[in-house]
Amino acid sequence: MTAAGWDETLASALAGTARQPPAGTADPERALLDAAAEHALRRLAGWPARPGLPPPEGDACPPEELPAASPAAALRLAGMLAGDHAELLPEWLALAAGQRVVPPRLLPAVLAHAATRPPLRQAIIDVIGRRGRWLAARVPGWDFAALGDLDAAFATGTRPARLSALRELRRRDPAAALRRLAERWPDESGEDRAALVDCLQVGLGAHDEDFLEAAARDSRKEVRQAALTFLARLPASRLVERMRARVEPMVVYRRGLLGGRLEVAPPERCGQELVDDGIEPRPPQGIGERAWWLSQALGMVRPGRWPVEAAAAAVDTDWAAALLGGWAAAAARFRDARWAEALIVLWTRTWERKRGQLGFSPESILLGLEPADRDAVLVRVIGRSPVEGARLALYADHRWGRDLTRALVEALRGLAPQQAHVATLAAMHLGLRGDPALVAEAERLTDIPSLDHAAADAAEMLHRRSLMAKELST
Amino acid sequence: MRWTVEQVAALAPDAAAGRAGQAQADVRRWTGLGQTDAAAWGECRGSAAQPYRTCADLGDPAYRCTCPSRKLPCKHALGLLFLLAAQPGAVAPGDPPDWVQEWLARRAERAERAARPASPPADPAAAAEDQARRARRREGRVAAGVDELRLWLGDLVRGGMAELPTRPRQFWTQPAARMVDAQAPGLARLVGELAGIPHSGPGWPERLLTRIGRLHLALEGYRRIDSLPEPLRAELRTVVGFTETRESVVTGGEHLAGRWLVLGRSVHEDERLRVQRTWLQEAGSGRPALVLDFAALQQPLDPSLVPGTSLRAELAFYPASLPLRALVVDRDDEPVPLDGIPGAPDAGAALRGFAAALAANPWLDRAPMAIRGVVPVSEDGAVALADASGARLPLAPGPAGLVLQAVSGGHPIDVFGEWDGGALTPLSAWADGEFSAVEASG
Repeated sequence: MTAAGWDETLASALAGTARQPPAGTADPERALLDAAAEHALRRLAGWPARPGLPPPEGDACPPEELPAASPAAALRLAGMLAGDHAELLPEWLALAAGQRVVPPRLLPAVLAHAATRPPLRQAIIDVIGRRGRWLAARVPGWDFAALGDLDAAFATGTRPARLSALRELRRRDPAAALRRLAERWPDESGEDRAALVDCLQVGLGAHDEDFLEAAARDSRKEVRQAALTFLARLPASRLVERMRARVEPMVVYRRGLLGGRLEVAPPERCGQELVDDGIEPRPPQGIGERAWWLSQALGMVRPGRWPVEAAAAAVDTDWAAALLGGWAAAAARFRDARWAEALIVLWTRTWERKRGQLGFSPESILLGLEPADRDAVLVRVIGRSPVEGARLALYADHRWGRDLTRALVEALRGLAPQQAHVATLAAMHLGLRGDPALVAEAERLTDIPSLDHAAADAAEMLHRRSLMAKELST
Repeated sequence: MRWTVEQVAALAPDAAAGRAGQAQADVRRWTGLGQTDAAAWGECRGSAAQPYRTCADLGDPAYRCTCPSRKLPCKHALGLLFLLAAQPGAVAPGDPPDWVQEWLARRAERAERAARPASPPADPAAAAEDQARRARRREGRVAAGVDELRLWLGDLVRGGMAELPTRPRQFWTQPAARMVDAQAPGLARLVGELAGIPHSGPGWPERLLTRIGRLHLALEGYRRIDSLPEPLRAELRTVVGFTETRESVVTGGEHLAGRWLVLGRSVHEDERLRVQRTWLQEAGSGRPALVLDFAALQQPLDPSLVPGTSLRAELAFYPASLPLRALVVDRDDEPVPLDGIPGAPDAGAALRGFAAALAANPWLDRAPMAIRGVVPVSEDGAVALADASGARLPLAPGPAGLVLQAVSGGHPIDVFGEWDGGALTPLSAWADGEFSAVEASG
């Protein structure tokens, strides 16, 4: 039997038996290997469990409030996290929110996904349930999803954790959350301010007005822009009212027998009172100062103040780009569907080479609208010009309603032979955004030779999405 | 049996095939759907003019499809099974059509033929003589290889392990290659596995000396193999690299029939081969078994043992002092879902189980370990399983620890995995009345 202990054996093995032979043997190599074999087995067989305290009682996660997603839905989620049709992940998350939670075994993969993809974070936080928040609190780097002690997370957390804490605080009590934000605001860096101000869209209301008015004079551009947009969304804000009083006399629409005309008198100067209300005094290169001031001011006034005919009349003035650009910004900011449609129609009717002079792009207006209004506007634009409508629909990245889906299917029928490129792209978007209930209509498009593959892909995608929705409802 | 969606997913040869199968699970793609207790069938519209005829034997499971895919099961067969799992009402009971009956009849015939013994060779005496000569030649080569490796190991400890991190790769690959030449592939693998240890971070000398000690034990044992009792002799021959044929295991190995719980599965890839390890446990006796399957990289692995189910089956064990590896020789009913994972009541009992196994097979590398009522806890960035008294079993590093924490939520769960002597690689868990397979691939 072996005389030497494990430590001696190990020391001897490291140094070599030539230099440090085990004591009292004629065959040092053999003795050392024998000892190693015996100790190896003793150590493996006698390996002790590490001592520790029993897991604390109160540390367990409380029961879930919502049912877990079905096995089929979970399997699809796992596939998307692995990169298979990842473009449908946002839709899965939106469909699941408030209805189902991610099954526990997929939570690590889902949270790891959220950690590296800030745009998906909020949607993922909405579906991880209590178990997900419990797990996130225990893994470094996932604190953004923990939502435990919100005040502490907002005060001392990492930036992602602070943002989700502020959003959650706003959801619970917007006014109290704003006070918390305002307390620390002067000490926040520009980058933090830009990220934090965005959280105010949760629970936006009259209680935010003073704060937003101050933020509209912030030194950082993103903060000013966000503040102005939020102020425009308040039902009645002093800043919007002041701006209306200034701009109304500058842009006057006169009805006439042969259509109306506009009388335009842009600001002569940009005084401190305009700068305080968020107007940038210095124009970008290539734009005149007065046009720039007018455009910005107009963008802060509810466009419904003027009849939509004013859009066409603007083209004939010397201030076309300033007026139309201002109204376009206002249509998006105030979510005015009538003005949005009027401007977009004007754009589609304008000769392509002259569109650059209009001072706006239709997609930015469209993206400002609520989904239902986007649908309605697109349906009417498609009715007037299938090709322009189909092109514009490529920007509509929300879940389309039935009417828009049907309108686009019809448009593709007419479009396919001449405008093969647009039709192919639009068919792709039909699959990704269209109403899955209309999969049969999309399948019928495969009759059209030039659209054959694209339509089949679209039908396949609609089918996949309808399965996905079904899996999430079972 | 009623397959669940997750079990069907586990049948897929790879993740992409599983998702493709899921897309086929739509009644509108199918015509002529039908099922009996034993089989299901249907015709699936694909990209070809004719629909593909797909049928599945639900017991085995086995599949046939007229599509050109070489994946097994193909997406159509998976789609059919997904459909059965998710919408059983969509597949009406009925009599199988001719093409299904033909296939089932052919399968039954083949099974019968396989059960019959192979015809004896023309000249049994000469064949036996030839075989014995080949065996003697190999014994001689292995014995020479063992002596050579003993000298190498002696040189290694004479020179000392401290120098090893600076040695070139050939220092290890050369003796490993010599053992391949000596027809001792098991020894070649043991030597090859030493190579990475000097670069494996703090504690490497302990780990290396442990391995060296066990290699020494194999070499010394082999020199005296004739004096060892038979079961240990068989174990040692396996360690050195002698293999048994399937036939000799079926005819000569120990048979054990019973209800076998399929507790976990892991797949390991090396350069050319995928190795699937499936762990079973007999419900009554608690006896463990390991079923191995090998496939070239693009080929499917045997999906017929689904973790989270149990089945009545007869297993034949490879001869060994600690019989673990086994073949499924017969299975006679449909698998049913598990209702729990049996296991040791605490960490101490689990470790004593491993010590007992080690006493039977001192070369045991990875042993099955199941432990009940443990809470996964994070400590210093690693996860360990804490039993009710607080004793901890460390988990092998990897994503599985987080998955266990997620399914546990801080509540006690039952865990099954492979214990390697210092850490547990979890393969499955039972939490909240549900079985979860934990991915373990390497």
